[in-house]
Amino acid sequence: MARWADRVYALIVACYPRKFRKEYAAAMKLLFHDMLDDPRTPKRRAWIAVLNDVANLLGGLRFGALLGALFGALIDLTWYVGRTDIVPLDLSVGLVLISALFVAAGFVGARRSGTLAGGIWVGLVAGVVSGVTVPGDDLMFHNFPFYDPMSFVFTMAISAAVVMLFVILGASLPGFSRYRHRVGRSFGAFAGAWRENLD
Amino acid sequence: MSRERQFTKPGTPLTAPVFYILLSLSIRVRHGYDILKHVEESSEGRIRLGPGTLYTALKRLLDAGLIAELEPDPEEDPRRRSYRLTARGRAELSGELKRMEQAIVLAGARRIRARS
Repeated sequence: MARWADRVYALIVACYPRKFRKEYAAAMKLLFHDMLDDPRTPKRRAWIAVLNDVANLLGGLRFGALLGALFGALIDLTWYVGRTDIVPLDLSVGLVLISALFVAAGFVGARRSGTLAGGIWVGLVAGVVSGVTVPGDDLMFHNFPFYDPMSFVFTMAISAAVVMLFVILGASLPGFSRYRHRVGRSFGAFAGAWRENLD
Repeated sequence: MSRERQFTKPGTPLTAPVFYILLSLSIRVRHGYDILKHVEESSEGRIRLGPGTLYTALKRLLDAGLIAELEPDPEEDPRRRSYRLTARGRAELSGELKRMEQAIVLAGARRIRARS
């Protein structure tokens, strides 16, 4: 039976990019096990080394946050352009553009980190930064688009949920190539059965 | 400077963990934990690598062709991976040692001494 320390370490290993994990997860877990089993090394030293690894992982998160902030700023800019009519932009075109930017944030984050979580993190930061548009609308155009606090909370919650769906879609795209053949085969089989039924 | 460029641009100093990893593999073939212990001992405890940092560095060194992975020993745990230094890795290590020697000579000429 695995020790609790091995289980905790397995959770930390799960945070590494998928490609790296596939290659080195087993070796990393064995190495951590060796560190704990070595009577010459105090156990706390093994944990300090692991904490150092986690700090390095968080360094990657910081870059993801910067990337997310950049996408958020682009979304803010799209909103500002739409609201001020600098470029005559139809509301539906603006919404499509903003949705595409959220998909792109998820996609870029997932591609860079190699994980779905990395894409969601970038999209989440983009969502928070783009939330500036709500007080911005009030400050710049004197239009607080909510009747009461409850409508504000509900609208923001629904917007966040919709936006995160776009982000998850974008973050899933890099992994799609792995399932492309399987999806293609399923679609082919479905189309074949459909045609047979028509005949 | 990107991490990838570190090994492709001649004359660029190696980071301390990479230097000690190459140094440990210049002595003999080693597996992950063996490298980790040797790095800690030879740096007098100043460099303590975690499994994630070690394998990230090993992957970069493998990609750059400075080290090579050996076929797994059938008598060992299959998860245990052993590495050796390549000719390119040895040249990179020699270059780094030469740079260090030059720095010591320069410091000596300017009468700068390490604090004991």
